[in-house]
Amino acid sequence: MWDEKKFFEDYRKEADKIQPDKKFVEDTVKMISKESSKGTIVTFPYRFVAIVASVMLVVACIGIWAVHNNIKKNDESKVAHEQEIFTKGLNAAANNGTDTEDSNTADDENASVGQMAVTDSTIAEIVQMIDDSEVIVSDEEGNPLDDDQRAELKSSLIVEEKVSDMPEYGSKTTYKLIGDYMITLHITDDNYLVVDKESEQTIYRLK
Amino acid sequence: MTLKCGEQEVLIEDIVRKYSAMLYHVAMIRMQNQSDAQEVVQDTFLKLVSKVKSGMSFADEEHLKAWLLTVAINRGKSIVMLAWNRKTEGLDSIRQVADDTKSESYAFEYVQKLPKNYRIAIYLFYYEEMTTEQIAVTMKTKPATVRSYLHRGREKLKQMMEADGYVG
Repeated sequence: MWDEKKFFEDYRKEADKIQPDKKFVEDTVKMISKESSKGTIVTFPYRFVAIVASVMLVVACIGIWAVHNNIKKNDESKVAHEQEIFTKGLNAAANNGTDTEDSNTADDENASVGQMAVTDSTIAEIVQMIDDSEVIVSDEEGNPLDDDQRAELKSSLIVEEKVSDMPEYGSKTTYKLIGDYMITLHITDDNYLVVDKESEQTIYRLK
Repeated sequence: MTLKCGEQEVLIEDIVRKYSAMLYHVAMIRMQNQSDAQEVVQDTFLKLVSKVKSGMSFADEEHLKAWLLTVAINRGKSIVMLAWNRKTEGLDSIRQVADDTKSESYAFEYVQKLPKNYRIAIYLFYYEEMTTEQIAVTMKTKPATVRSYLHRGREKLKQMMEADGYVG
């Protein structure tokens, strides 16, 4: 029979005999004594720093993803919006002369973004010439306009409607656009634009 | 340097002298080789110094003892987990220790043949005379698991001794 009690008594006696050697204990005492006499250990919080760094990395990744996503979304919606305006513009051109609600809306939108050019080739042509650095844009006396003046002129060309009769006006400012051919613009003090191109006159009411 | 243990201030050097044997025992039982056991003992005391410097104190001596045993067992785990430490020196060196004891029962050597959790539980229960609840805290497990380790450990010891013809 296995005498469990005796077995574990023997176990205790044998375990008692397993002792660290005295030199090891004294060396350990010396080492610990030396270690404890050193200044306070300032334990660098590696774990905390690692956690914070991980969180920051995740936040940065989410941020970059969100910004990227937002830019992509904006680009898509911008393209969609431009396509919509273009389509409306084409529809409005197709319905030229009919005073439907749709065409008014298209004209309004086109005008509001300076895109009357979509429905009016003359204005588009003028804008293109102003943008073209090889085209000389000058005032009545032939003094060329600088870039700011060109930009100002371009921004003033927001057309409300085309009119058939020449308006009465007090004074006008004249600009000459000289490229392969010449276009003369007269902007009256009561906001009309008269375009002289190859002896043909087109009149617009400006916004 | 002193450490606060309940109401008492105890010199850390005295703690080292007092608990070296206990930690060496548990480290030998866990690691089964002398050099790793010595490393475990020194690392445990170094950790104690570090904790005391950062303001740690102990409710009483039992608390200190349990803390030291827990740290030693865990430190043993870390050392074993290092691949380069998985050497087979263990059992031979513990046999040498058992031979040195010149015991007729070889009880210590039989216990050392058990799986590590069984032998640690048996050591803490039979040698350190800890309760299963205290052992559970030290081994970071449940008291029921400790009881199971003890029960299965005893069964295995009995089987091994029967197989070797020690008991009929």
